[in-house]
Amino acid sequence: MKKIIALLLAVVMVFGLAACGGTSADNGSGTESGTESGTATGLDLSVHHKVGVATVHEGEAWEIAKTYLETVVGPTFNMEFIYSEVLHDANGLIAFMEQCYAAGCDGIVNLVTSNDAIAQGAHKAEEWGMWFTTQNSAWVEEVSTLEHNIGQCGASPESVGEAYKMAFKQILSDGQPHSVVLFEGAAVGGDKGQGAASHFYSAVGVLEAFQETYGLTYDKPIADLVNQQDPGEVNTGNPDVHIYLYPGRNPGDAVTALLPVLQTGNYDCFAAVFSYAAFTNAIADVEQSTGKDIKVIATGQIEQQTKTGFESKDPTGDTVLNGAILNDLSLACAINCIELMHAYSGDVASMKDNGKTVLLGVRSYPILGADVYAKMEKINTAPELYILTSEDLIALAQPGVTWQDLEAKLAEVADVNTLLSSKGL
Amino acid sequence: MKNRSKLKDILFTIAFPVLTWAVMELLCLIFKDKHVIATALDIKTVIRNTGITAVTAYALSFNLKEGRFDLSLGSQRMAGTIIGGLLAMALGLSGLWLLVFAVVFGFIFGILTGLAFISLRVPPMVLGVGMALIWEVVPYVISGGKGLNLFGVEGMGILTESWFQILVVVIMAVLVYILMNYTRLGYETKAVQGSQLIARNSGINIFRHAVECYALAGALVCIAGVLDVSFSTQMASGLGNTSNGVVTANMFAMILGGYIGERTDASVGILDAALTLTIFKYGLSLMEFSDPVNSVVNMLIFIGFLVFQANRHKAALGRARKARIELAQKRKAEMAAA
Amino acid sequence: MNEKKKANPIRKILESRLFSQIMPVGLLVILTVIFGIATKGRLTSAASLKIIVEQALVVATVSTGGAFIFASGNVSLSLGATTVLTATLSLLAYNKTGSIAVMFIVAIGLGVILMTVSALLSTALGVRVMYVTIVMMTLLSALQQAILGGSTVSLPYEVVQKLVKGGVMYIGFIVFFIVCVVLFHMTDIGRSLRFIGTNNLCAEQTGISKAKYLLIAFIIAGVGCGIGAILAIIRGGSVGTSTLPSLNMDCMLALVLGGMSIFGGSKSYVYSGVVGALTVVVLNQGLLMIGVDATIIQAIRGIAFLTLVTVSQVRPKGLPAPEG
Repeated sequence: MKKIIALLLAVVMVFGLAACGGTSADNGSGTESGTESGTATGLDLSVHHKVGVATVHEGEAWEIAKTYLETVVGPTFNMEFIYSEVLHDANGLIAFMEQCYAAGCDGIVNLVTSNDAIAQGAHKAEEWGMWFTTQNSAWVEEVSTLEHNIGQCGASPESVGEAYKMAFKQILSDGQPHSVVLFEGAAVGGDKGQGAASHFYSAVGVLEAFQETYGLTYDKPIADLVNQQDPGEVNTGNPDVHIYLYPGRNPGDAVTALLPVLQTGNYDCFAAVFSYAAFTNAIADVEQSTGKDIKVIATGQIEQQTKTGFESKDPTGDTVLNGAILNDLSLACAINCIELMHAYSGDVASMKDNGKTVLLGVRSYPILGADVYAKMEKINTAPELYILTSEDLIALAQPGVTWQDLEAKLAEVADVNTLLSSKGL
Repeated sequence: MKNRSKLKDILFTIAFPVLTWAVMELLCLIFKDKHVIATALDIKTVIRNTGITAVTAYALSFNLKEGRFDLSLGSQRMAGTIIGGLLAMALGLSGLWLLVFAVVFGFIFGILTGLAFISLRVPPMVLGVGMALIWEVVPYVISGGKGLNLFGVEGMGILTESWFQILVVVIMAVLVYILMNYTRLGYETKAVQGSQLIARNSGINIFRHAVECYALAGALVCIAGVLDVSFSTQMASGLGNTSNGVVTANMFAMILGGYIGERTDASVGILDAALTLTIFKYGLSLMEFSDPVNSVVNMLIFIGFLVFQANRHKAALGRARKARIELAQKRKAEMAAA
Repeated sequence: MNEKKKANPIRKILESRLFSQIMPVGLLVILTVIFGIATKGRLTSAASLKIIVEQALVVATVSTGGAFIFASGNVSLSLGATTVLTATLSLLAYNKTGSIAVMFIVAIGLGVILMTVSALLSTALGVRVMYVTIVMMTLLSALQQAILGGSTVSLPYEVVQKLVKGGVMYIGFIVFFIVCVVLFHMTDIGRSLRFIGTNNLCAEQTGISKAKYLLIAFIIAGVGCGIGAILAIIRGGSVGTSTLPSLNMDCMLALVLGGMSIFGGSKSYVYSGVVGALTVVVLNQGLLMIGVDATIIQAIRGIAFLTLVTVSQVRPKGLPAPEG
């Protein structure tokens, strides 16, 4: 009898909760301060907004971006941020959004980059009337017309590809045959919104640089080569030029797997679309063993390990890092929050192109020397040295500012030299 | 044991890595025209990976031998290594001190986990889930989410030197050998392995013993953490109860080591098994197997070994039964003849 | 011994069956009320409660199936890996055929097959369940990674919406839960499994085949993994290599928090997974709503988990081990 009572209690509780929740989501606690789109009310900084930040990042670069959100963006826009744990996919994003909705958030900055997650998240946000903005390098057309999906901003895929191409072309310009091992990260499917678009286009940039320099005849289109799930050597059609592609998200495993490849002595270049520091000891070992310098080009952030890479010497006397493709998380976060402010002001239409979301590209900064990086590292170290300062944020959040204006601003800060001189560096 | 010659046992022990190397060498030559061990760097890599695997397997063995699977061992590894590393860096000390601090913190986390075990007396796996949730947060908060980054840090070079890694692993192997064969801990381990209830009734302080096992496991797993991070330069401070994967992946070495060690000693067996599995995995990498496929192959072999391990006594039992029947039949025939 | 028990009324209460049944449910109610008050009713709003239930559904379903294994005194750590691999392959089956029915059949069929393999390794081939479950956990997730590489597979949003609106998540869970309640509490299957959990040797000597009932337990858990996979697909719309990374541990957390004894036996309840899953979500949600940092929430979850487990079980005189 007691067993049945306890059982009934459990069943009643579950179904009771479900039944309660079965009523319309309109009863929810989110979007208290949300404003209906289309009725611009002006920039009101007195209204407090709670914003959920769904992140895929952790580590130093993310902490720098968080500091920027907490110390500059939050106080400027009167925003309070709730950060997720490190999320991996649509399931994690939805669960976090649900928590944010229940906690009274009226906006989401989504950094979970797969198209599936973006689509699911945007639909959920639409259902609840929460404003939704994404940091991603690929445009997700499927949800581009949803009212509450404000827009996307992320490392511009073309620019990251171009940056890699440029960096490698410079290395390959000496007329000698070079070969590369490329740690592609989540490049597989990046062009289809399944992996990371920036990783995909980085790999494409490297392959294009080699193809154009040496007139290589790959046996497959470049996109197909990058989308191969298994690691292996690319058929370049040139016996002196070797290209080894390694897709994978775990740098630890990649180091173990790539060490014997590098040891063959066939490769004198290494590229990593993320976490290059994990490979530095392995590369140093190979350099010591073969007596051959290996040039390293990698994606990085403005952070300590990039600085160390440019300042440290490898066993051959060259710098550990020869080129860095810098992506600035803080800048993309700022654009996301500006978009949210437009939505809060009822000015969401100006962030869209004929009712469709726009993908704003934050250009990558190709840094090919320690001297340039020494200046670049001062960026993000003081409130006035952030790429977008408090004043910039307020100016760009004013109703009437359009997505074209944001795009123009991003273009304005796209060039390293222009950016540095604008900051007096 | 008495009937077996020592030479036979030594050959049995050596056969595992040697045969594995021979098979992988053949496969690599046939399919990729490569050697498994071609340069000094290959040897260095094998030494490092063997060390990490062996020390992790030693750590696992302290509790797993007695039926306690500590699911928080991965988080202790992460917490001890990151905090020890950050402290050594903050004090501007060398890699050796990093190792010392990591071991001390690993020991502390191990003791705390052990004390929680004997105080709360919840089953080890349940305790492990709860403790992992707590321990993962500690390095995250202390490092501000950044984890440990040794890239470019002065004075860490010693940790990546092969002689140093060999020295550490050999010291650990000797230590485990002495602990398990010549100390109270080893005696108590064997008793608890047989029956915790009987061990307790015979006067063994199983509570103190459990704390000692947890503490040693915590310290050892942090040595593996240091060997790992010294090469990869980074250890992320992950959350979400996902830190234990890196430890469970080394369970095969522990189980295989136990089997090989039946002829010599578990400490030798685990080292031998770690070397065998490292050569095997390295060979698969050379054959361009991706990480997941490498893991799948390893796990399938592990399952096969577990099945063998669980059934190997059956053949002996069958032979004994057959001999008994034959004897009985012979006797019956003799009696009938008489 | 009995006199001592009588002399200690608190111990008597703690050891009573009623306490072990009511405590987890009571705890869930108390937590809900406390956070309801602390969040000024936000947590107990209709929308919030709906969210709580939906968040708990996948873990609740998988761990409800897992309760059958736990009741027999065995622990399975591979429930999560089985669910995620099942979700991946059933989504691939949908992409190949475009048929929802095929996706459902593949999910449940595959869940059953994978768990049956685990069971047979233990029952027919004699490998310890603990080892099987750890190896399967690693193997299945590696297999999923090998199949997917770095990509994801997804279900079109319209299909997801159709399934959501059709109440498939609730129907799937409720049907499975009712069947499990009947099997666990009203048939020989549940009784035998609990008996095996209480005293393995005694159960075998009274004619209960451990191998047979363990196989049945794994098959039911497999069905749970299959349904859980479908719910995960509907909830997230896609599956990748990092989908539900902590589901293995979450299921264990939910079962134990819901009052299931880790040693199985007579104090095993099929609803433990449901109650535990809801408790975890209420705790997470409540703490987040009162402004606790997400990182700290994890540590609080751990402390609360250990505290509740300690309070809800009778402290053994020796150290916990299957032999007592």
